[in-house]
Amino acid sequence: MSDNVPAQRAIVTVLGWGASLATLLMAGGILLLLLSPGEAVDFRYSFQQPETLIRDLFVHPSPSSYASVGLLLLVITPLARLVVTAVGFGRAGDWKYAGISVAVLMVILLGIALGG
Amino acid sequence: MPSPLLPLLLLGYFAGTLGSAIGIGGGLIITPVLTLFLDVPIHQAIGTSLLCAIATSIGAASRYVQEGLADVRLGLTLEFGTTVGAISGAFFAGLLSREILAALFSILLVGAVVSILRKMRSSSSLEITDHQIRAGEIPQYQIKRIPAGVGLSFVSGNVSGLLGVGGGVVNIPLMYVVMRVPFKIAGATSIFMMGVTAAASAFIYYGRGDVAWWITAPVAVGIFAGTRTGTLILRRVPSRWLMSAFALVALYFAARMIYRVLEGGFQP
Repeated sequence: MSDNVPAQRAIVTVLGWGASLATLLMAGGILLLLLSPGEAVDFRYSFQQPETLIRDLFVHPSPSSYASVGLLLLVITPLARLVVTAVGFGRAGDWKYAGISVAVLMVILLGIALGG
Repeated sequence: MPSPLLPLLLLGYFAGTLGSAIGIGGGLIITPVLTLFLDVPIHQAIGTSLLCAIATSIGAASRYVQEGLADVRLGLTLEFGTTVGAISGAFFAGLLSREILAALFSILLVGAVVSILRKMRSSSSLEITDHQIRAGEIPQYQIKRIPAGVGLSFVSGNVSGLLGVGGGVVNIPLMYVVMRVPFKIAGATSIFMMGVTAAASAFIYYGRGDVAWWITAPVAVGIFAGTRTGTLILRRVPSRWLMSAFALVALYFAARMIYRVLEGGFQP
């Protein structure tokens, strides 16, 4: 069953970039935290405002904004993997696995909607 | 609240190495260490452990998919069962006794470990060597009992959702014992699936503010470094050793669940 997978390259790219960027941002946050021990660091930062987090990353960079955007990227990457998997299988005409990928994505989005 | 960076980085490195080598998320190590030794509240520890399962998954799966060790089609098929099971499990959470479920689950897990060890002794499973992986010559294997596997993945998702336990410890015996998938393929595919399974719950913890960045970020960075070592271990170490390590972890897991049930009141 481990024959050619249509979306293989796209999956590897998405997971690889997701992991690298998330690590870079989180490590940047940790480094800023180490460099600014005397400053007031916001330890209450949560993920409830992603747009604020991304804006702060560029406008008011801080340890929390770097680390939080890195963690946000971490959570989004598996969902992006499902999207590229669906597209890859769909482009190859393998509708069964394209459909399964979309179905899994829908179930997760439903779970998020019901749980949130 | 400043975080003890070095212990968190080392914790992540250890969990990432072990998790990516034997196909589990690392929550089994991360949650107790954070709560017992670093005084992290249980909800934040679970939130951290979910994000760390995603970190282990995306850190190691890119390599496993590239090398053909993770079976993408099998992973997608089982992901469907586990995610539907996890969501529906949430609706039945109030109807079932978690203590009884945890005890039954522990007994089943011990049974699965016994099956793995028996199979290991009979040497009937397919070994995949580092040379074969590097040469892109992974031997063909036949997946058995696919409908039963999907059905059981639904049950495993359901139980995982109800008990708050990770998917790897369930999915590996499912793929290896029931579906007759080679152990290394089962481990790599479990890692591939884990990110998606954990993402749904992680979003919920994330939205509630139960993910503390100053704890999770150092552990996750340590995990990414650990997956480099873990993926090498899975490739180079014989399946027999990986199975023994998995059996030890799974038995510890079952014992811990039974202990918590006997202690009075099961908490995830």
